[in-house]
Amino acid sequence: MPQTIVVDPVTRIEGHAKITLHLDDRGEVGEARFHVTEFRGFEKFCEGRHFQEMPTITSRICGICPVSHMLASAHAGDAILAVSIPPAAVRLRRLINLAQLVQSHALSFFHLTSPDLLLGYDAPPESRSIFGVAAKHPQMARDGIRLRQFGQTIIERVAGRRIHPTWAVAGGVSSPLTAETREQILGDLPEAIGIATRTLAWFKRELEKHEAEARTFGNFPSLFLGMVTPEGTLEHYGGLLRIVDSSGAIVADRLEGERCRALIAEAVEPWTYLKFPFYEPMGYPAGIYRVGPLARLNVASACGTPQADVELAEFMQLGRGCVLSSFHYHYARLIEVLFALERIGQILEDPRILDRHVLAHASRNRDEGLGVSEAPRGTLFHHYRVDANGLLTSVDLLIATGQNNLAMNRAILQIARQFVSGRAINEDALNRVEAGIRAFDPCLSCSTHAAGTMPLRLQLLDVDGRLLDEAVRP
Amino acid sequence: MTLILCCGNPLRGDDAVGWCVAERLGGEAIRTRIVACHALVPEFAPAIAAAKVVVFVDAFAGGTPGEVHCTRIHAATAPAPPRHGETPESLLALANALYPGRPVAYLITIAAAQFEMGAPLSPAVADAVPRVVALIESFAAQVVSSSCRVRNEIRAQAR
Repeated sequence: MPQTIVVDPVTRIEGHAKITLHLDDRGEVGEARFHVTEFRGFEKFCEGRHFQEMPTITSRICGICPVSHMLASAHAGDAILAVSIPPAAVRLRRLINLAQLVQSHALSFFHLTSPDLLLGYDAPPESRSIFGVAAKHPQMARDGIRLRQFGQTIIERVAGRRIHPTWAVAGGVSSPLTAETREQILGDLPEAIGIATRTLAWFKRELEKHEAEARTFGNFPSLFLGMVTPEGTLEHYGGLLRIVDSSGAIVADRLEGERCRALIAEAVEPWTYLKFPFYEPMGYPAGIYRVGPLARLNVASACGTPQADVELAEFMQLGRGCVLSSFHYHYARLIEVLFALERIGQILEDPRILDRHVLAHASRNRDEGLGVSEAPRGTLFHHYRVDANGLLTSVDLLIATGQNNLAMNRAILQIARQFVSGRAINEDALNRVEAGIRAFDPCLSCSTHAAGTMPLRLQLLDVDGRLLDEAVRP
Repeated sequence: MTLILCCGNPLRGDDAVGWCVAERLGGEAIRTRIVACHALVPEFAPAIAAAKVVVFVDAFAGGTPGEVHCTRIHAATAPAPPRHGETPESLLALANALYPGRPVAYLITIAAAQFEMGAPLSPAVADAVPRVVALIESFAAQVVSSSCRVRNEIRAQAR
């Protein structure tokens, strides 16, 4: 008799969700659904606001990646102004985006994921937190705190505050970098690089312990989408977009934001507020693609910084063409942190970063603008249309977590088929489904613009929708 | 050094009281670091461990609006459930686990009347701000002089 298992809510991710596992007549998992049950509606209530307000408004979507929204929004504003912003502003936007990547990846890896890796998926849930890590692996906890602090401090020094900064604006940024701030960041950089390199070395030593997870946590072919430089190396702001298939073959390349967005369509399912973006030429759901750290490393020909290039070459040995397992999002995150730190050093060593001209002045010159940034979780699009007064007539936000929605659902199905059987819910299955989702580091606050924490509930339902079993984690 | 961590959302009515206290304290207190924040996060742990006295300031849902309570607090003995922000007690526990310092810690709460989006402080809560500032300044002065022992528990009444 077909049944359904529900995981609700899922913990240690940003936002609220539940998971239902639908069992078939044989008691095997036939379908998995990742439900996002909240809705905030930024796209609707921003209509009527002036486009120049949007970097400030949309940075409020998320407390983890406000910089990504601020930058994508300012980039869309640049297009509406129809200006080429000053080179120093581009460099500064790139700098702050990398700083956010460091702090967000540090949060994901050290605070949210390392408890599973260090303490075990089957350790008591109450111990699997940064406090559990602090008790048993204090140096790892100190490193996580310090690395996140490093990224946040850059954001605060450059943009005025670490959460919800209002510094990037249409046309550039509101203030230049001071020499003092540059020296402060450069002074802290060696310590941060030391943390990144020793954490990467540790993770690589641990990899063989997680072969089962690497095999089953979302390990399947898909397309990958990410930003690259014109030379094809890793990029997070101001670059071009590339799509590759699972063999690593380029499907589409050198895409400006508008062209790339036109290739993506969105499907809707009645059981979730989170849409299902897909690569339109391949149809739904065959056009499944992934974004984020794993995708960015898969699409890039190299990182473009010395240490990260060495790490990337080693990383790519995990796959034939592309690395396919979503478990390796964790590994990719650590390589991206190392890259970001090296790149921050390169950007700051360039004396042009102190140029005082950081803002182009113009008024509305176009009625449409699309902005792109690589957020920590993947490619982020902001698309605005405005009237003659610059007031928004439509707002479309295509968020990284949403773009991974198809992949997350498929990952849950794969994990559930491996770890769930029978009519009851066991802790083992619960932990692995949760950990599999966490590999994507989903941010549901962004993707639906939901607020709150994310506890977990797992339900088992029969073919008629009757509840057979339930496990709740507060 | 005394660390004052003032927590709250400045856009949500009386939840802004911590930020108002931080603003009033300004940079006037001696050997005192004042931080206004939306939430208590693990990144505060090093600063907490480095302080001699830590004072957490936050709005409180309950009680008579404007009522001020100051309580000596200690590190949590069990981890709190995962949430967006830590509790003062869990942050103390994290600081204790990772760093050598063992600060004395207090939690000052101000009973709120409302948390409406965009609303100003309620009159009773606004009236409490100077009392909280005076209380914190007395803590800082005691730390500086090292001649006065900080009491284990102080309870101040709003009116």
